[in-house]
Amino acid sequence: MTGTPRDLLGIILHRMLSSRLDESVLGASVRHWRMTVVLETEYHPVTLRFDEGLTIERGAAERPTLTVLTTLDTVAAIARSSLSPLTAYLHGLLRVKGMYRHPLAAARFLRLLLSAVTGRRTERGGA
Amino acid sequence: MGESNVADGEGERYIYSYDMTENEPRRPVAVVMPATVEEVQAIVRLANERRTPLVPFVTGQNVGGLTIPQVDGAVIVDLRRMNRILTVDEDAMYALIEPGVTFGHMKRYLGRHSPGLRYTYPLAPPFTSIVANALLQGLCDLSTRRGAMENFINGFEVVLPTGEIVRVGSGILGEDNWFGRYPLPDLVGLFSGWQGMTGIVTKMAVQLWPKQPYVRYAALFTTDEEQTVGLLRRIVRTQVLDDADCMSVSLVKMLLGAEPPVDIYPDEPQYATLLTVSGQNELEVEGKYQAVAQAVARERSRDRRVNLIDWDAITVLMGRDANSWVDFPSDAFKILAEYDGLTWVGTYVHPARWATALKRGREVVERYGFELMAFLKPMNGMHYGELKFIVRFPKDPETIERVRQCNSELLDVLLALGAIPYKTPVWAARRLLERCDSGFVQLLRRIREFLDPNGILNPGRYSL
Ligand SMILES: Cc1cc2nc3c(=O)[nH]c(=O)nc-3n(C[C@H](O)[C@H](O)[C@H](O)COP(=O)(O)OP(=O)(O)OC[C@H]3O[C@@H](n4cnc5c(N)ncnc54)[C@H](O)[C@@H]3O)c2cc1C
Repeated sequence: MTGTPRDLLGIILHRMLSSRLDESVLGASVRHWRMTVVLETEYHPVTLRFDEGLTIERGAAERPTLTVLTTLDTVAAIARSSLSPLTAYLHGLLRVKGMYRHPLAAARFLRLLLSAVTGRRTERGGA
Repeated sequence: MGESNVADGEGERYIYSYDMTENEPRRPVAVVMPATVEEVQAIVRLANERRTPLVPFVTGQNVGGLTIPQVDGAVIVDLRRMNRILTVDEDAMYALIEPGVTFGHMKRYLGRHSPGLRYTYPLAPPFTSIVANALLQGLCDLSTRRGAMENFINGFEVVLPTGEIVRVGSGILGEDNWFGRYPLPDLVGLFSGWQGMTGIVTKMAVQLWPKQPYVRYAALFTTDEEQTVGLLRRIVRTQVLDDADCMSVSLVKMLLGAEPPVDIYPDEPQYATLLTVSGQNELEVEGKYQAVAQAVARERSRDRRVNLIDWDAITVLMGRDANSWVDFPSDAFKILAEYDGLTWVGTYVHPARWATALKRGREVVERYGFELMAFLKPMNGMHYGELKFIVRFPKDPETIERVRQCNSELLDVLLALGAIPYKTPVWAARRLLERCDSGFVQLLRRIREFLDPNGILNPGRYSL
């Protein structure tokens, strides 16, 4: 990952994702992704640029591949396993704009997020 | 005491001449390290004969310049060798400790010998003194429920500035009897809040509490000062919390490893509050948590940027290091020691003025270009709050001067709101005493002269 974000959401995402990207198999495949994801929450938007690695920036990039709309509350519920990403999606708590145009990008991004959350849960369990 | 416990070398004199704050250093002439009350007594008697100023010291981590001698020719009385936990009374739930006992010692000792009991711990490093912090009326992780640490003092043994050893509290009837301070004339007040000017405490009985088997933490994210304070007041008034630590979100970013200088953006949460509830069983804890959640939900229905996040989720989102942030006494707050300088203007303040104090203080800190690190803890069930603005800084002359001006303005803002400065450096005490009831100042002076006719204990402190 390049650069360190300076906003709270960016820092959290950076910490969650960087441990995943350091992990060899997933990290190696992410390096080949070319896509831009904007995460919109009740706070400011955050842009994740996948281009030979990942850069996280505060603010929304123009014409992103995907825009993920959710809330911190939903992310927290997914993090503590009281909500599955699928249930969140079905209830409209997590929406992904651009998913039909870029299904592979959507699948990749959600897999990465899920892997970050699950990875952290495993770490926590082992703490 | 033995030669190895007395030092007057340049190195030692330098080490004890300053602390992390911007307060002007001054070298003592020597440092002595007594190990018994008799040694303390002998030092005080000799100091009276020679008119030598003495400065009691344990670890010098008070963040107020309170162990820097205010006059030339002072001797530091470093009490860290007096570090025994003398008794833990399981029935009356107190510990009798010496001044060198640290928060870290106490936690380890109770964990090993009295696992059913707990003490209370600050954000301060684990190696700092319990006795000194209790005498300074500091705050800890039960203060939202129970108030300042002075409330937890059952009594103590103290060497007066004239060398006599006396006791205050129920321990006046002998050992194994340190259960409380009442019903008696409460003489703890002759020594607490006096910054070592009226006696050297050599033993203190501090209250312990049953350790609750179930504890739950959560982080509350809020936006502006009005919202943060309004919601915090509603939550604390439910009376279900053990503790609440509200801080500028910059502190969370620092805990997450953000590089300095750490900014706060207007469109992100401005404040994060660590909330703690505990109980005998899961049901009790869940009930308490729900009381908090309901208060938050009402606010969230007005503004969805208000978020209450359970600690399980926090450890997933922020990493398992987050557990160390709530495991007091915690080393995590060493983030405050990023530079060689650390200071704050801290006060105890009326709850109706928290939001104004936070806003006005914020303007001052931002104008001086420092990182905003406001900290607010509702105290004693919501009767008042501790509010401080923390500044970490590199100790170069230009920055030190800027820190002084910033702190001076902060103090003026807070005094104008009726806030009482705590762990008060001399310059701040001077400004408080200029403004406050003059009868109070005269009484302070009379008590001090009465207890310390030769003026040997910490002279100049509190601008007295
Ligand atoms: C990063 C950081 C975070 C902190 N967070 C908190 C916090 O959350 N809550 C809080 O309350 N504090 C906090 N503090 C302040 C600090 O930890 C306490 O003030 C400290 O515990 C006092 O202990 P000390 O050993 O440093 O005392 P010292 O600084 O050595 O002494 C403090 C004062 O007490 C006097 N004194 C010392 N021993 C005696 C004695 N036996 N008899 C009479 N007078 C005596 C000294 O002369 C001096 O005036 C923090 C400090 C730091 C550096």
